[in-house]
Amino acid sequence: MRESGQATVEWIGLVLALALAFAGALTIAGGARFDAPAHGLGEAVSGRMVCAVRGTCATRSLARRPPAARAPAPRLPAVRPPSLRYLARGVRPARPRASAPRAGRRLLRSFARAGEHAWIVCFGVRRLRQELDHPQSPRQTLSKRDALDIFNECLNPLGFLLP
Amino acid sequence: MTAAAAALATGAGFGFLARDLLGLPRAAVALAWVAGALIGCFGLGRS
Repeated sequence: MRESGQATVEWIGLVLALALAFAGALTIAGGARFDAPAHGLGEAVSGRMVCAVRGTCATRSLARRPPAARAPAPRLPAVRPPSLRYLARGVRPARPRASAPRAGRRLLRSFARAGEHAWIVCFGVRRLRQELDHPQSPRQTLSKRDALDIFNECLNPLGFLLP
Repeated sequence: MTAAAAALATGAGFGFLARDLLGLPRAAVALAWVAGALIGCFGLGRS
């Protein structure tokens, strides 16, 4: 059985396990107040464990919320009576004109927001390509030259503007 | 984030989308970079 690539799988498993453990710790610590003294986290963890065993976590979290923070009653949409004039003519009123530009503006804004964060993805894509072109073992670090090349390709304006 | 950094980041993001994901020609990539820089500079994505 070949052993090439085994370390990569093990490293990925280790990173995933650490990420899961960290996410679990963060979920448990969700009930802690970080502005409180340091033992607040320990109390929160032990409290969560006790309430999980007793099965009372849901009732505790509901009781801890202030009354104003509870889910508000669903608001029913306002129903306006149809105009008698429209009913008599059998014509429905036109949609308000402001909705289309507002939707376009929202689309443009989300597009701009996606573009604002796409440069981070560029680093990932370039690093992945570099890894596929020149496979390394997990103990090998990225050379400074390669890191500089990736940085240059992703962020240097001259690379985009000049032919 | 200052306006210059936002312009640089958004321009790089748009340039990356145009160059690597869409595979557009150089002129279109440059245009996308400039458009992204303007969008980032004027904070269109945050308003």
